[in-house]
Amino acid sequence: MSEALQYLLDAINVGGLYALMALGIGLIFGIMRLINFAHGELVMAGAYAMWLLIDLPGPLVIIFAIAAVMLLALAVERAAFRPLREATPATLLVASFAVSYFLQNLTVMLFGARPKPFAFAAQLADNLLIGGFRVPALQIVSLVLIIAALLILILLLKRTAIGVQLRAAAQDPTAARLSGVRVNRVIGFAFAVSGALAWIVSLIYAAQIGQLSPNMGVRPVVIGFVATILGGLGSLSGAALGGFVVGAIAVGLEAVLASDLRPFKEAFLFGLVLFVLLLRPQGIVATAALRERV
Amino acid sequence: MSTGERLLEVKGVSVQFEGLTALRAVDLSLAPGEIVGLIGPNGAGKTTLVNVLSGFQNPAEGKVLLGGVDVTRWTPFQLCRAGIGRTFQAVRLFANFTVEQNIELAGVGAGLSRHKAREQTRDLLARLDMGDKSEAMATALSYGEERWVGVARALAGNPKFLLLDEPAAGLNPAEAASLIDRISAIRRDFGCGILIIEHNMPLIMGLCDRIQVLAQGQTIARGTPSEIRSDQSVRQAYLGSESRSPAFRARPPSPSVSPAPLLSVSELHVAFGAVRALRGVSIEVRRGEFVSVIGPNGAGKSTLMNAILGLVRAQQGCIQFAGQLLDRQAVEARVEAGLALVPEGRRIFGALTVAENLEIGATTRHRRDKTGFDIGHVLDYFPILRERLRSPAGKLSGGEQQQLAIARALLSSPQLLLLDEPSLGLAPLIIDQVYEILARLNRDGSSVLLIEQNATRALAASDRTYVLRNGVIELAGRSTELIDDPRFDHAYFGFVPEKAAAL
Repeated sequence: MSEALQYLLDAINVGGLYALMALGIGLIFGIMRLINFAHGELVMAGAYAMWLLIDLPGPLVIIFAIAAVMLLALAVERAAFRPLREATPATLLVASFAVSYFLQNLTVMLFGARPKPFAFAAQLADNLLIGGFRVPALQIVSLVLIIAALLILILLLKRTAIGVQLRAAAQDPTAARLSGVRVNRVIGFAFAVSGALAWIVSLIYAAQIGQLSPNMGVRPVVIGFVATILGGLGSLSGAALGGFVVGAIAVGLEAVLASDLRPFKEAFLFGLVLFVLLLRPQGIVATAALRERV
Repeated sequence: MSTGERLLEVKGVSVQFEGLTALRAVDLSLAPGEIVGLIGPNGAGKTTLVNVLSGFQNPAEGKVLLGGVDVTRWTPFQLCRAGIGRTFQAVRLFANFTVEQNIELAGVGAGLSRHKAREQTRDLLARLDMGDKSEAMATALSYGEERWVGVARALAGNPKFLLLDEPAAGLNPAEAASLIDRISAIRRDFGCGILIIEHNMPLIMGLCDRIQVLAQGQTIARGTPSEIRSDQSVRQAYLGSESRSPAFRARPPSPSVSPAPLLSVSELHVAFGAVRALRGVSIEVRRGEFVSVIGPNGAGKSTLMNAILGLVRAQQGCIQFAGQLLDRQAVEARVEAGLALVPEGRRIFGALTVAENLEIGATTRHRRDKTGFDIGHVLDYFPILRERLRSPAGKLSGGEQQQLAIARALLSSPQLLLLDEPSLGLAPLIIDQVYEILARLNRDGSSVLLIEQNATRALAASDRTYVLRNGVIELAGRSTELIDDPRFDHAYFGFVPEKAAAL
């Protein structure tokens, strides 16, 4: 019983982390058809920002680190992607790889290539005793953060004027402009939000792996991207769902695979994802906007 | 059954798209050596029928027979190899290939060896009088040549039946006229049956043995060109039937029209590559006035709208609005300056609720003084939307979506409301409602610029009308006078229907 509960908690935690990644990627894809592989470097930047600011009081570290990631996201949009607004999705994709490698190597230049041990809040590693179970504090904190982030994102998109504009522009940018929506502002907003989402991932992910490295964002971005595709490119609820599905599969494999097969868990994971996509190539949630007319 | 042996036949075909009936029990037959014209207003289902014939669309009901064999569910390439060739509205040649390679490839695709395909291509190009272009790159062709290579490509499959989807679209009048001889020559040389979709009436009338007319997915007439010319139901299908609402007939002029122009477009030229969509168009709208621009499909009407809003750039000419020269301003800035477009096809945000759509419409309000239309005020014009505020806009009926699109545009408090084909795809009764609303808005002081294919509606609703054809204003004047103007039919169709000429 307790084992089942533990797996469930794990599934939500792992899935939630992937869902946040997928949402960050999906948000940008929805509005400008850009698959932003540099999203992983936002995660990396968030972790390095916290490492640099570690001597400040905790709340200030959080505020400054979020601000730093959001500013980086906005700077990347302004410098790299805005000039390419009219370019094809393929050009945008390659540009995002360029930004990704640029930021990784800039980090190597500034801080060295070696991983650094890092723990933002050491207490996260402690175990809490809840109802007779020993639960790592990190799991509780990340659970709360993930749920809060999803709720805030829903409120932002549904209740604020700029959120509604973002959803409208994602569906039909021309019609949105015809209503006077300033697309530059909306895209900037999307990048800022994706930066904030990336920071949450960096907090949880850095605590999980206990270290920093210039290429630490690569694995989350690949899995987040897979989750976005699985959920259905262009749909935000699909992206979140895709994240949770990938997380659940990953944790499920951990439970059922024989121990000598576990090192190859990801081969099974991505194999299953491929299988799902064979059955449903448009992803779990299909988006009408992406269908092409003959 | 000997009659069916050599024919291409459609029997009782129906096609539905998400609740919309595109074709309803349509029959058609085409014999080798015959040229049949398929005409009808925008959205009649012509391209859908060609898609059914060439395997790009499976019908919900009905059959396609090729030489008596049921080929209804065959794939496009099976049909191509069985002898059905087609062209597309957009040619899409392989840009990095020469003309010869483009056509050769189609021959290979139809099952010929490369050697055979190359021989055939040479022969084809010679017969189509394009031998001198065979080494030219596809990108170096003029638009007309490009379209003609598209026809050659369809012929490379050695079709028994050739389906041409708007071969004259975007051609200049001289090029279009030359198509009559060139397509006749194809019939003579290749002996194939030809089905041709076209909006260019002189071409259709000069070329076809028989004509079949579709409107709203149904066959409304068939006959020889002269029978079709004198058929009033065909004229009505294009121009729109006489409005049954008596309010439109005795329309008083707009109450308060100022003498100074609110919008003035002068000598506007817009070209897309080699296609010249607008060639020196000038129009004017005064404050408080209701002006319409009518013309057949492909006349350049939407391009005119898009140029005014800044969605396409004009090569020459200028647009002045409210005393300000519109030149490089972004679309958003033009909306803020007081232009609002209800785009063709409505383009509401289907995944958003009705209330959210309206909120988007009110975007510019938050940045300005809050005069003009607010949501409550606008909903007085559209009571049906008030009941649907929380439902997703995509779930609304076509008429309700059109109302939402107009309401959304009004919420930017425009000085000039522009509408692109608001009657498209709507039932007559619903069109009545939409026009009633437009009339009311105009009575209450709004200036309106309307673009319509439904000429009768537009003439009845507006103070003044411009007739646009082939990118040129052919005729302009007070709408009440234009209705009876003997020059009208020639301006609109490019030919004079026989009955109308006799009157």
